[in-house]
This record gives sequence, C-alpha cells and structure tokens, in this order.
Amino acid sequence: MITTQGLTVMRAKRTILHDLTLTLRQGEVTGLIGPNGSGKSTLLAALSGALPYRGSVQIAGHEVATASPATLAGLRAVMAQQTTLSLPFSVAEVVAMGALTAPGARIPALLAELGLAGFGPRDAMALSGGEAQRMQLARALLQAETAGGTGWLMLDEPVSSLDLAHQIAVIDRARAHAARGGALVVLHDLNLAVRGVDRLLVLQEGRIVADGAPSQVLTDTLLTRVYDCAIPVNRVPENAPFVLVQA
Amino acid sequence: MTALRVTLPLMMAGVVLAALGTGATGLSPLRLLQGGLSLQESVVFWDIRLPRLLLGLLVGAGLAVSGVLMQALFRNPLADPGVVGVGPGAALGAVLAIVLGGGGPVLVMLAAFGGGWVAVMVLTRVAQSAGRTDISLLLLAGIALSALAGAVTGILVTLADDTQLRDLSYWSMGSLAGATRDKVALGALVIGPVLLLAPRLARGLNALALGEVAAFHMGLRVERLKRHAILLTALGTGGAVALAGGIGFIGIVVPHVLRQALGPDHRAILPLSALMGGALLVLADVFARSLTAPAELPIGILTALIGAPVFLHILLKRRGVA
Repeated sequence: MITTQGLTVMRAKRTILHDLTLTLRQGEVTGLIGPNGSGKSTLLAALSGALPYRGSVQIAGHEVATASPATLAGLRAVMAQQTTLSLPFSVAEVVAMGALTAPGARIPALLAELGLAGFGPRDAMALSGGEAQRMQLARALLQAETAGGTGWLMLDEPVSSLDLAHQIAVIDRARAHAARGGALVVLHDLNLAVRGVDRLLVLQEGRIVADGAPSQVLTDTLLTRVYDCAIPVNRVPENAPFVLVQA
Repeated sequence: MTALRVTLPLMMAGVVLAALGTGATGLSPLRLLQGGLSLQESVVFWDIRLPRLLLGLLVGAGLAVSGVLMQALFRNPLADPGVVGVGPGAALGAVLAIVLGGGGPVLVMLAAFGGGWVAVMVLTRVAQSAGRTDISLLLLAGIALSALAGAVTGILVTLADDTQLRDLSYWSMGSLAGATRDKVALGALVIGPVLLLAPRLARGLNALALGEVAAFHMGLRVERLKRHAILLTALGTGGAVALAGGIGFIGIVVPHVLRQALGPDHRAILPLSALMGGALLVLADVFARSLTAPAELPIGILTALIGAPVFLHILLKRRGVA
C-alpha cells in the first residue's frame, strides 16, 4: 500500500502538488491521467522518493524521504518518461542493471514477453524509441521481480512511443504484475485506461479532481472541464466508455 | 576479451623490457635478460630505470583511471581530466606549492590534489544541473579553467627563481625524468588507493550511464557515489600531475580503445585501464627518451600527439551517430 498525507511538492517556488491525501492499493492497476503540466510525473516522482516533498509518503510503511535507496529499490521499480544512455551497453546489460539479486535466466524471457526476443546482445543506444521504452520496462520489471514481485511498479507514460499492439501488451503486463504487487501508470490514452486500469485518478493543476473506476470517472463533463476541450464519451453496449475527441 | 588476455600481458612485458633497456648507458634489454650486471649497470637499473618505469606505470594508470571516472561522472566519453581543466587545476596547485611553499614533494602532492579537487567541483557546479551534464558547458568550463590556471601559473613563473623555474618546466609538458624511489613510494601511496578503490565503484558507475535518477531508482546512493568518484579523480589526477606534470589525453585514449574492444562495463574497463594506461605512458616515455636522444622530449607532447587525433575521431564518430 502507498499512502500520502498532505503531500505537497514545490518546484522553483511554484506549488506543483497541493496537499494530496491518497491511498493506492496493491492488487490493482491505478491509472493517472490529466493534461500536460497537471503534475502527473511530479506525483510519480514524489511517490518514488526522487523529489523532496512536504507531508508524508509511505510505501509499505516506509517513509520514502528517509528510506535508503536500497530499501526503496526493494519496494518499487520505476520507469521514467525518458531515459538516455551515455555508454553503449547491450540491451541485456541494461536490463540486468535492474536486478537486485542474480537475475538467472529471466532476461531473455522478459525481453521475449515484451516483443524484444533476441535483442539481448544489441547496442542499447541504437534502438528505436519504442524498443528503448520496452527495454526500460524490462529493466523495471526485472527489478520488481528480483525484489520478490510484491512491490510497486511505477510507470511514467510507458506506452508513449509504442504501437497499438505493444501498448496493450505493456498494459497487460502491468496488470499481470498487479496481481501480486501494485502498479501506478501515467497515461494519456483514455481508451487504454479503460481497457487496462482498475482505478483512475484524474489530476488537474496539482489536485485530484476525480478518483474511481474508469467507467464512472470518464464523463463528458469531467473531461471537457479538465482538458478544456469538447470530449464526448460514448458507451458501447456493455457500458464501457470510449472517447473520441471532437475538433 | 580472450584476445586481450593474451595481447595485454605480452604488450606489458614488451613495454617493460623496452623501458628498462632504453637510455643513455648501453644497458640493453638483452643485457638485462643475461643478468650478472656490473656495479655501474646495477646502479643505473635500480636507481634510474626501475623507478622511472614504476613511476610511469603509476602515473599512466592514475591518469587512465581518472579519465574513466570522469567520463562516467559526466556521462560523456570526452571528459578527460587534462582536457576539462582538472589537470591544469592540479598543476596550478603544484606550481603554487613550488614557488610559494618551498616545494617539498608531499606539499606539492597535497596542493596538486587540492587544485584538481577544486577543478572537478567547479565543473560539477557549472556543467551539471538536475543530474544532467551539458557537455558544451563542461568543455567550455574546461577551457576557462585551463586558461585561468595557465594565467596564474604564468604569474608564478615570473616570480620563480632559477631552480624553481627548472622544476616548473616539468609541469608544463610533463616528464618522468625526475623519477626517484621516493617519488615512486609517494605515487604508490596516493595513486595506489585510487587503483584499488575505483573498481569498487564499477557497478554504480554502470548504473550512472542510465542517468542519476534511474541509478537512484535502482537503489544506488548517487550523491555518495559521485563524491567518491570526484575524490578518486582528484587523487589520481593530482597524484599524476604532482609526480610527472601536465600529461594529457591518456585518460581519453585508453578508455576509448578499451570500450571499443570490450564494451563499456566498468568492472572490466577500470582495472584494464590501469594496466593499459601505465603501459601506454611508459611506451610514450621510451619514445620521449629515444626519438631525439640524447635530448629528451617532454612526454606530454607525445601523448598529445597520439591523443588529440583520437579526441577528434571520437567527435567525428559522435557527429555521425547524432
């Protein structure tokens, strides 16, 4: 479980997150949506322990500001929005860096799961954007697995460079992890959120403005207000919403 | 890796033999292998050539390992202690100690370490923000630091007396000519720990290639790792400069060649850089002693002659990739 009490984050004298009190449960995928600059990445960074904050953030009872990096690494694995590599490590070497204990034979299997079978020996600096993104996900998954598989997976826009099939594969992988651990995923694609997320948090200007199952949260009124753009929500017979943005 | 396992020891043996067998007196490699040296030969061997060889190995290793550390720290293969002003900073410290402080070897060593450390700290302040290094800022800051160190050194040179001036001429371009057993002992004391401790940072330095935030996420104490890397860089560079003056490019050539052959894993690159850095500097010294014999070339000229083209080559390659 991740709990925050009065979580407030300032950056360059601006308040990015306002007094958030939240509980994130294990066993489900929590999606985080909101317009650009609403504080999604900042919230994920604060929960991961990478940013100073006021208030409290606890993962499994550990206050992240004071927990050691090694303790945190066992509680959560993070995939950042963008990771740039400065040395030409191979794909397998990059993934292996995530391992907290000996990874055994997991690396080729993980790569294969993410559509990167046989990529192990390749130069990680020469991958396409989508391949690099899946490699980073494999690294985060390996960290979560070697930590026992019950920790948190925190993914910041993990599908931004991916084609449709890989987007779905990644969301499904996060679901599979959440069966034992927890997952927090920053997304932009609302339909993907409907498909893969159990609970949706909507962030606007550093505040949570909606929280619940996607089918309840995604309404015309809310989306139009939050995104400041006419967004009608349609419903297919089983009441699953799908979203088409109108020009 | 296997090819290297054979070639590197062979290369080392060849370089060591060449270094011990080159010099003004006719003590050839063949004569050394025969054994039974005369008194004069044995003095040349134990008091001149062996200290010079060992000093070269230590200084070259210190420079190469410092280069690897800086490149990992600044996340760029162009960060060489000499090029970005850490060497000149250490040299300024050493010159200050010689001219104003009387120039005992320990004082010179401490001052060189201090100068190098200040230079690395300035570079991290100027070129790094939020865990990212701006390489143009790094190189420009290096130019500024080198210019500043050069200017202050210039002022000090005009204040120096004749003996000091002779000492100072070593700093400008580097030389192993002043090698003594004491200097070797001092080098072992200062550079030795760098060579032994740097490989312990290898895993962390690998993770740093993904950025400081990612390294933190993977469980690393990033600030501590950086502090240790900076300290070892300053010790390695400062120690090398105090003992042999301004020798550039070893820290860029050696890691570059090794990474080309073996990939970037610091667990292999750090220890092998020490070996190859030592070998390369000793080889450069053999040429420095023999190309213009009986006169000696400053060794920094030779390393620049090899290193500057490699630097340009890396630049061209990066432009091709980008």
